[in-house]
Amino acid sequence: MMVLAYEWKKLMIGQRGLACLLAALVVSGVWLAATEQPQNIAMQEHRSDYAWCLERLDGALNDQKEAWLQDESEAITEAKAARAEAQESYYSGLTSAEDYESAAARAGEVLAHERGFDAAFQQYLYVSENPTNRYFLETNGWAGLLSVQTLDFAVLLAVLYLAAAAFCSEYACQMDALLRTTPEGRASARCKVLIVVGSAVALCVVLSLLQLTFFAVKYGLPHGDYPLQSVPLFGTSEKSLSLAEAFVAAAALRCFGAVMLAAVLLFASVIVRKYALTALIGAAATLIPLIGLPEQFIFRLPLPLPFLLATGFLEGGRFAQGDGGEAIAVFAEVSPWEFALVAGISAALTMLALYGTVRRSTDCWLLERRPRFGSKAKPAAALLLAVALLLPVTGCSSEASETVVYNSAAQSLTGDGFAVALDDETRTYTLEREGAAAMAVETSPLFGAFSDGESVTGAYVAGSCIYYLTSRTQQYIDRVGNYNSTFTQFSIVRLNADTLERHVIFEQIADSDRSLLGIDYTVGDTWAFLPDCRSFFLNDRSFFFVVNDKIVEVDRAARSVQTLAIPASGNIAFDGRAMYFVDEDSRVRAYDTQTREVAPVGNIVARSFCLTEDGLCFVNRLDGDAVCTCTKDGSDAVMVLEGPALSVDYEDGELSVTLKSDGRTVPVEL
Amino acid sequence: MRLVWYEFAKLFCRRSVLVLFVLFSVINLAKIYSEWDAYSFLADGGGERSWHTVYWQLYDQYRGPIAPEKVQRLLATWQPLAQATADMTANTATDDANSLTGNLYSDRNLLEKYFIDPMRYCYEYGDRAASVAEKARQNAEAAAQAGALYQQRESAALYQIYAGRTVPDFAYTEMANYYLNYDFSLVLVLLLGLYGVAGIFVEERETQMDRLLLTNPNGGSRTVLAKLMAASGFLPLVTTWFSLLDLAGFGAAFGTLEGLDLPVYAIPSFAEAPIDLSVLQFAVLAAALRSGGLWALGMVWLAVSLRGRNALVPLVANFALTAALVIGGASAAYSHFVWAKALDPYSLLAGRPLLAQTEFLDIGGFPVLSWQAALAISLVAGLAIAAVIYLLSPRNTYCPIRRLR
Repeated sequence: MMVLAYEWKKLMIGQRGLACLLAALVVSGVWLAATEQPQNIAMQEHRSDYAWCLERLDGALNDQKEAWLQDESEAITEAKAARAEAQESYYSGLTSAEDYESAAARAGEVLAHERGFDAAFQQYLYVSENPTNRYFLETNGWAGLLSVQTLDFAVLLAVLYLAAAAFCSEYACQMDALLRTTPEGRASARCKVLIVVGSAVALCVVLSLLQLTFFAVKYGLPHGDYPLQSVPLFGTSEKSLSLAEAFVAAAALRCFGAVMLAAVLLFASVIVRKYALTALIGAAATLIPLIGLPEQFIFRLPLPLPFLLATGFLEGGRFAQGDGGEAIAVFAEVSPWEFALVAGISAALTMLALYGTVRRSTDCWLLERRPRFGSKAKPAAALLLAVALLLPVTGCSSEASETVVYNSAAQSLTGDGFAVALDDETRTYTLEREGAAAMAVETSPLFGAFSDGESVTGAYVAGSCIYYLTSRTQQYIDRVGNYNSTFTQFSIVRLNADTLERHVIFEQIADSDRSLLGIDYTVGDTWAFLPDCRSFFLNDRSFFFVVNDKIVEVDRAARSVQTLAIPASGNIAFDGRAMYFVDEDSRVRAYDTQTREVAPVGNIVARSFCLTEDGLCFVNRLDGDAVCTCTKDGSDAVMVLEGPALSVDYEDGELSVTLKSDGRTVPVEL
Repeated sequence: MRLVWYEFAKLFCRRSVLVLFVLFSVINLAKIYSEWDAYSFLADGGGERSWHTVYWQLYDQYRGPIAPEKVQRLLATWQPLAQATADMTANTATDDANSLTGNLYSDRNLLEKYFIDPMRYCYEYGDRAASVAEKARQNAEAAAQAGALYQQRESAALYQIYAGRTVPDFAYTEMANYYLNYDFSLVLVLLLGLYGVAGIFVEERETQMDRLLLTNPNGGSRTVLAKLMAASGFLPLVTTWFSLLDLAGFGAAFGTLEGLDLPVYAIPSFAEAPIDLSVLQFAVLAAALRSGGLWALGMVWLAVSLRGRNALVPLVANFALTAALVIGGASAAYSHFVWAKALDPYSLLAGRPLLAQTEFLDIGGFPVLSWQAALAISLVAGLAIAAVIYLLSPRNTYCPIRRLR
């Protein structure tokens, strides 16, 4: 017992093993907290609505639930139609206000949980592929928890450190020769092995518990007894495990992987007797197969790596489409007997390695305590320096919030001395400057020259700057048969119209399947909205992306994503501070981007509207679709054109109206 | 000089380093062979009707300058096949006597993948490059009009690069493509380099030889200088060896060295390469950049291990540092943030992030190609770190003569 205590103190305190373990835990924890993103963002953002649906759906799919889903889906479609119809007849004076309000209230009741229902319906499509083992539940927690039970670089380094330090420190000062002469030699070696293996297990267990707590708090981990296949990542798996069992299995496998790595390294360290070589063997035995071997081979090798990458043992087969449309196995599920074979061989190797280590054991008894080197002030100073260096990097240059006039429906945007026009046919944006030839906003000659996957998908003008959104589809590696190899990257570029200077101010890959150094991995679908983005605008704090039926706000510094409950089907106007839109009841509302509050703009009910320099211009549904103007707060409404109009547009400082009678577009003098 | 050689022999001519060299070389060759096996459609054996045999028979007819007569002949072979297989009603027999490979669809695929598509790309490249050059010229004019000096210079540089680019010849590009896109050996180079460098300073501290050395006239800063020079010799040696091995390995696995004298932009993923070199010259340049990057990284490793008492802490710290740089560099590889690429030595090590894209950095109002900037930054940083290591080297304060010096 005494020997164990001595050894523990030596390895953990003297050689800072404990600090290393804690550092690994902290790094892993911080990394998880900083980078974790929900796998299914819709489910997370509309959590309460989704929970409402889940009350009716929770558990296995049955006829009743299926019928409810179909009914609800139809009800939503009908409610939308009914609301539009009621609006139309109310504003044309055919029905009374009470009738309209009751109709709108009825529709509103049905549509209250629409977004959550969308997420549930997507899940239904997934569940209905195999209703026997796919259940309805909130999957973000389990999906996140199971997908992080995989190789953790900090854990790898900590195990490398401990295993290499245990015996090599004795060899470094040739203590091993002395040790053989002592009666406690073997006991000491056993203790060392025990401590290293024990700390590897403890590290993995604590880390798994940490992850369990994190996901339980952040998303909740409901219904651990539901089948593993309920989580899309494991959809095709043939293992009959519940979610909780799968977590325990994955965590246990990862523990075993760490133990095996530690055992192999301990054995290597008593053979090669050098710190550097031991650590290199550990790193090479893990990293070379990880990068060099196809995924399906890795899980059939008796190495520590597959166990450290635990979740692969639980995953089902994955297929990709080949050139001729045929299915090609990208990953073949590890069958139970294959797993038993790999695990059996690995366990035997681990035992042999541990036995071999103890056999070639040494003892250390009176090892002098290593003097500590370096003062404690140095790391603190280095940290301060690093923070000081990082601050200017993270801090964004801030631009003063200025007044702009932006209408997402406009085909042309005007700035100081220039205009950007969109050609709808070719989807090209042209910059027209005073006294200069017109040119495309993306002037780089290389843009789209050698690939078809590059295009400009949106533009925004503020002051003398043009911001444009580009999309670029590219291959990670030009390689036949690498199925996961393309990605689409979106960038927002700021172009100064006077100096023609360009700066990329935002860049993001939209795909959730990524590849890094040939290792494929999946991230959440946070950025999946980018390919659907029709237009965008920005202020000094956020980017706002107008997507099919919503607006997504992205914080410029923190890159956090938030979906705003604003219907984006019509025109969206932005004046630098507030966003104007027409809600479901045709009322014009303003969303203040600073206070994040929505307020009605006067009592305006509009068929169509646009923002001008002086205020708003709209097609007044309360006044027989006459064209009116008002200030930005909705007061001082003035009729400028009597005839019934369909829409108003404001482009290049000129207002134009599309008439209901003959569809002509006529200019209007303000 | 002798001191440098002693240090080199002591540090790197060790059994473990040599064994690792051999082992990693074998792993590398195995990986290269698996690339060929997994990705090349020509790896289907040497049967009479295999793609491999048929391809090399056809290749002799179409290689060399792209002439109208060859294009006509190729189209005459391909068009009937394309028409016959377009509506998926052609004969699906696999022993069709009228076909080259035994099956009409297979014939069409072979022709498309290996002849039509690459030849079309080569044929069209000249026009595309000319249009890039023309746009660059127009941009330069527009920038001159707007008085934007930097943009004008950048467009002019772009014009210089793309004006007159053509791919006159057709050749087998598959091997060159996979060779240029291969970076597994980078992991091996990093591991080996890290292992070699890790022990340079700490080994003597482990055995307390460092104190003894100080009493020697050649000890102290002289030894440190010798060690730095030995490391500067070892690291480029590692990259050179693996670059050569990669080329030899790909040549052997694919069974040919065809295509090495094509211009590098004949490979589609290098269409925007900023340099006008042949594939072979490009490979030499990439190896040189890799050496420069590894050397700079090696100096960082040395600086980290400078104060280590044993090899373990610096080694683990260096592993973590290298992993961070590699992951950061790899995720920024296709980014538009050119500075992020230029500052990370990983881009030099991999080469592709810098050499496959024409990107400029604005340095003092002049456009500098990203690879040149990255190389300069790495070399300057490496030299600065080496100088600091040299200046911080221990001196024997009890030695009055040396102190006077």
